[in-house]
Amino acid sequence: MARTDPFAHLNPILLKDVRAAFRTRRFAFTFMTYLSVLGAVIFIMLFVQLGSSKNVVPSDVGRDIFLTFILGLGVVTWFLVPAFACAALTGEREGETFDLLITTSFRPWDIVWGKLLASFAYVFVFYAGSLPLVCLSFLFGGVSPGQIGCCYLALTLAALFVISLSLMFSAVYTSSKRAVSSTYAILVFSGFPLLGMIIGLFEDRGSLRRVLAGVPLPVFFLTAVLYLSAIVLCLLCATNALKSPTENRSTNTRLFLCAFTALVTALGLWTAWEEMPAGKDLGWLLGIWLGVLGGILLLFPLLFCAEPPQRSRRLQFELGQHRPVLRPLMRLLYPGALSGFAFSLIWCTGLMALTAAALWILIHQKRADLPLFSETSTVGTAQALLVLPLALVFLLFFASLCLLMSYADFRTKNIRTVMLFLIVLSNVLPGVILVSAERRRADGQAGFNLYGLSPSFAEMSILMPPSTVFKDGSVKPLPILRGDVDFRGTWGCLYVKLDSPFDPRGVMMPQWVVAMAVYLSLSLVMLVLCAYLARRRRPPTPPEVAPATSET
Amino acid sequence: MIEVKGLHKSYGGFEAVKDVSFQVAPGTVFGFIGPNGAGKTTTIRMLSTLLEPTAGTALVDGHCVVNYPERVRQIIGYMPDRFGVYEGIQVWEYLEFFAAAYKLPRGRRRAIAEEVMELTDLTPLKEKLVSELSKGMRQRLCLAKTLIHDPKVLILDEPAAGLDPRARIEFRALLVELSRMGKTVFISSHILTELSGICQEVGIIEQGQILACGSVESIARALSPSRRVRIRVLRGAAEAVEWLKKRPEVLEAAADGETVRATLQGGEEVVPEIVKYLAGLDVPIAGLEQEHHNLETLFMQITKGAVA
Ligand SMILES: Nc1ncnc2c1ncn2[C@@H]1O[C@H](COP(=O)(O)OP(=O)(O)OP(=O)(O)O)[C@@H](O)[C@H]1O
Ligand SMILES: [Mg+2]
Repeated sequence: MARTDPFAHLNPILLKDVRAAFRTRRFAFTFMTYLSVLGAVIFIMLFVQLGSSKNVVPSDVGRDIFLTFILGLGVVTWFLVPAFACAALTGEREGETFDLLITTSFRPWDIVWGKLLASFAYVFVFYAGSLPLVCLSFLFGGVSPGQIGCCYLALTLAALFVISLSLMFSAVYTSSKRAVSSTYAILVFSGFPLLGMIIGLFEDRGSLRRVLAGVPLPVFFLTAVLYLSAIVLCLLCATNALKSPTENRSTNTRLFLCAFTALVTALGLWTAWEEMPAGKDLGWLLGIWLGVLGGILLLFPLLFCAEPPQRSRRLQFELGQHRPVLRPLMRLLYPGALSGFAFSLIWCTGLMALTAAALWILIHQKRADLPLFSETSTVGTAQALLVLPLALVFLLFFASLCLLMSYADFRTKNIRTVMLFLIVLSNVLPGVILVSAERRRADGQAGFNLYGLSPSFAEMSILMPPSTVFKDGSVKPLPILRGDVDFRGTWGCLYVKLDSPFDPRGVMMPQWVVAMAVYLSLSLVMLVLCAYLARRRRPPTPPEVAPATSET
Repeated sequence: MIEVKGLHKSYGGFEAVKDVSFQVAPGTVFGFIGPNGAGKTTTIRMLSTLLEPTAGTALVDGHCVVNYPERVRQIIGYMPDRFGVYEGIQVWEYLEFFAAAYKLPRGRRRAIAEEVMELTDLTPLKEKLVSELSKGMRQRLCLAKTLIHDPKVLILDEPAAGLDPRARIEFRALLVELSRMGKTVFISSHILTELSGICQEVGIIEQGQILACGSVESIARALSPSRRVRIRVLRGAAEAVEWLKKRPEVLEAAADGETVRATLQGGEEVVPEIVKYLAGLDVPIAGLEQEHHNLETLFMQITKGAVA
């Protein structure tokens, strides 16, 4: 009877899930199918290569086997992992075991951590199981230990990313189907950089390696930081989703996002500092970096302004426990839509201001031009930095919209879904319309366009002015899409046509000015509405807290 | 131990629980009874921190279920009405998992699991896969899980559903034993025989509202100040009925073969008076029996007519 469990020191959720998963026939079936498919592909490749060509280089064969192996693992990681990792928590809900699990002494983080380990164990079995096959490539040589190490690192990172993303949706949604489809939707968009990097490591004939070689070091750091932070952020969100609504589900994410955006800004400035004298390729890098930063900053309203307006009694009590000196700061960091709004705006404005100042100094110190998107055009420093206040205005708009929805008693989850769609749509849709409608507009049918109302397009309209002073002194419209169209209306201006499509008397106004005016006034209207709703809102009757004993 | 005040829960526009209030003293067995769809499970899920009340408060051992769910979770052992089990896990592994989930010390998990298996008669099934257990066995497994961290309060939602008669009796004995150990038991059911005899107090709920709450006796007294007696006579039942109907304290009387059933108004003291009265009229009384209030009749009386 006194037999001790040899696995007693393992994480209980890991132990339970591993036992449950590996004892099923489904797992054995999936694993065997995977191995036989991978094996078959590699053997067919060997057969074809060794059989057909006259002069086979063994190292090429070795490298091809290894690449196939990595691709196989990549496919498993990207497509198979979400299929089971998404079921980690929704599976418990659907199997009606979730209530039993959540009413134990496990804290949300224990559950997320256990599920992360369990999912990773599953992936690890696939990774380890294909090792005998990859050993084939050593027969032929051609793969260096460094490359193998890099691949494993990239794969592990990718697996962690996929698992954390799946866990987040698994914690947020109640059905596996929704969790899986959301995860795939995001993976489709985020998978390319990683896949590109892996292939780039091997593609020595093509140009990718050369391009990668030209990319400055901080950009690699930036990519790593982005992926790592995405992992941490997903895990934080999963943990917070499992907490009860009265608990603090916000402060950890707020602090993390502060640290993260500060880091991204520092890395961007470092890139600028390193690469400024080189001049040439800096423009697109800086543009991409500003875009990334803007995208990340949009997370602030999405996450924090969508919170419910009122703090629970528990949170009010906990807030009161902090030292009086810290209380204003904690008030900003504690959950609540209004505090989220203030927090987002304060942090983002501060960060943007610092960035603008640093860039300004940098550019003047180095006396650099800012060539953007085209080697022959230049944009003035002040004009480039206009992107930052414009981004702030968009941020203000999205934050006010979230705040308004929160005060109108929308559910947090719904607000976030709506906002996500709105942000993606407003940034992507105009591009689709633009490409499909450009011809008709050029025929003189459409008078003016509203592309500037899209955040990404408005910012591009700053970085890509309607006409550009070329180095040789001539002034021409930017040759970006097809040559027979006047793109002034598209990129740079609110273009009201008078007589003919190219009438110079057309009233022109920079799109970013229009965008700023429109979004600022919309934000103001929404904030006024918020104030009205907040005043009309009866003070809530939150469930009473137990007498003093329960507070200690 | 459990204190519920003005609890409300609405799903959309539908109010499943309306203004429910009751108290459960430490160490008592509280029966929560009501017909299907009365709102028992909804109330229990709110007590178990799984559902947020729309309004009202619920305290377990002084801790608010809304504001401090993690404290309440350590105090209660919760057994849902419907639950799933993990595939590919054996009974002892299942119990050890929950022992770990309740953060019991590593070295003692095995011993505690053995103990609760003993208590719930699961020891012979120890190595069986939980997904291969029958419904009744699963029920016992879940009860074992509920007991594993030695909770002060047990919240059981229809725990005996699906048990065979023998297991049911054993289960009742187990509940009595647990109550003797000082645990507070909150148990819901619509099967009344399951609760009668073991509950010190009951709450009767229908359509989301508490209709009656308190000890069985006090509810009975409040409900009907009358008492029913069965008088067995050797002959002349019909005449006895006629005579009985003349007395003011007799509300109702009817003959049923050799038995006369009568409903009497007033306290205990009317019974000997009636006996004396009948004896004076030469009615040969062979026996007299007072009908006791049981949960079933009470329940039928209380919920009568309120069913939608
Ligand atoms: N998730 C839900 N959404 C909408 N209505 C619900 C939900 N859960 C329960 N209800 C409704 O609330 C009412 C009370 O349900 P509840 O499950 O609490 O009843 P119950 O007393 O446990 O019944 P039973 O004896 O059948 O278990 C029912 O009318 C039910 O239809
Ligand atoms: Mg029920």
